[in-house]
Amino acid sequence: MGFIEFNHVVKSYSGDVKVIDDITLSIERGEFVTIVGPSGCGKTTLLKMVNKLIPISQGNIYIDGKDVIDWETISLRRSIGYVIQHIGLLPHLNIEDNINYVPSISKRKSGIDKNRAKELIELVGLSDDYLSRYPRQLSGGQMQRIGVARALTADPEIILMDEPFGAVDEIARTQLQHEIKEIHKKLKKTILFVTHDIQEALKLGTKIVLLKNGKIEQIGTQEELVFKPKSEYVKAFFGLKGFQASLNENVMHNVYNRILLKQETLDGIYRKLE
Amino acid sequence: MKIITDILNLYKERFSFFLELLIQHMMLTLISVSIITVIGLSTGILMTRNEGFAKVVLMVTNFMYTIPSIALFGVLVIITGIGNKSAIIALVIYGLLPVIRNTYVGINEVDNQIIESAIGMGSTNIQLLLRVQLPLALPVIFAGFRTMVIMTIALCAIASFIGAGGLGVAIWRGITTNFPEMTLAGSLLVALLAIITDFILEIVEKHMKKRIWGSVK
Ligand SMILES: Nc1ncnc2c1ncn2[C@@H]1O[C@H](COP(=O)(O)OP(=O)(O)O)[C@@H](O)[C@H]1O
Ligand SMILES: [Mg+2]
Repeated sequence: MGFIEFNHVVKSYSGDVKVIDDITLSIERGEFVTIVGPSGCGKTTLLKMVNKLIPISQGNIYIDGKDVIDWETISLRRSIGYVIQHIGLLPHLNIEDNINYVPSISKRKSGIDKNRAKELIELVGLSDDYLSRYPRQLSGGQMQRIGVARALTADPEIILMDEPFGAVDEIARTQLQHEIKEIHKKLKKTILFVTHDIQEALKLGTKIVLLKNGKIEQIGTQEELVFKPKSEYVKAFFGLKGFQASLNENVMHNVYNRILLKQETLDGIYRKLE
Repeated sequence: MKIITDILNLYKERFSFFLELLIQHMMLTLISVSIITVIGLSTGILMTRNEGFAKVVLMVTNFMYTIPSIALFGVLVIITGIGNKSAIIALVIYGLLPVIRNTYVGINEVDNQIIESAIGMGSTNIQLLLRVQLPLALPVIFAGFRTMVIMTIALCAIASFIGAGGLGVAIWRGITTNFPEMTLAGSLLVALLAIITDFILEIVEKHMKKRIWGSVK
């Protein structure tokens, strides 16, 4: 049994429209699973059922072998990191208190480790000068970093991220993607990461789940989804963008540099490829 | 400008009389304000937990507002008699609306995303209220509180018509004994008390907004 296990999970609101339609999915410890799909396909719903923000209609979700129904809700949530697009930093608390929010609401008051916030803010690439600032004094990208740091404070094994980098500019997003990947390598957390950005999903996920109308359309590695699409839908969804994301960045960099240095021309490269 | 010197002389001659009325006025206001704050805050908070309850409360408080104060005082005299008790009850009834409404609106207006992430991180209901909703709603709640305090100070002057103490006594006496300087002297003190209190509360409110929201919006 996987670390996180979805077993025939269904979610329907009023009526018989199934927003999540019989999803079965097994996630191993330490995996970085990206969940991608068009807007409204059920990505957020799927994620929120894990930390019980949305009740499950049918089926079960098991975490570490135990049904989420049987987990005490508050302690389950405290042991899962949660990052959303709009960050939800508390505007009336400074960055240090924001990072320490989970330990501060947990019963063990002694759980607030003075050095933890400093350690974490450095992990997400900011200096500890920021600890005494307020969220409004930070840029969108910086706030998002704090969001990530905050999700790590209580050292959770699982982190849920819902389009965490959706609202930041492209440069900051690329950096954040790079950093979350490094953090994953370093800390080996199990990450469920929702995005509608194809390249982001392919770049970050060790396993990628493509959702369509509440169903899993295909699940697999980057290569499987891009080069072995199971359906026309998958092929069309990833398309050229998916192909671009699976190109080796170092190789592409070399090619690019060679053209810059006039050692080669773009036309010449195209000719070789044909 | 004879009237001004007359009033000033009146303050000088009857200093202890006015001082006592002023203190009574402040005490009546203080008691009412405390009761209103406790009832208003808790009602407002309960309303955010139950929409049906919220609707009923808003209907009732809005209705109370349409009753002229004199009529309300009249009714209360019949029920609870003449004196401070009736006055305080009337002041409380009038003062509740701004506090209830602003507490309810202030909490409801806190950004949903902030609430969601606070819940997602494992806040209990009470932690959500005390650590997130109330602090963030505080500037709005305080604005309601400020309105209520000023209103209570003013309305308290009318309360003397049903035998309560306070500066209304001077106003009332001036009217009944055809002594306009007395009426004016009392009114002036009420106005002064209201203006100074409002000034102080405004500073507190601005400070609070800056502290919590980062701007005075
Ligand atoms: N409270 C709700 N009541 C009814 N339908 C809802 C509710 N929340 C979400 N939905 C519907 O569920 C579907 C999936 O939503 P969501 O999981 O947010 O999609 P995604 O995150 O993939 O964009 C959407 O069609 C949305 O309209
Ligand atoms: Mg979504």
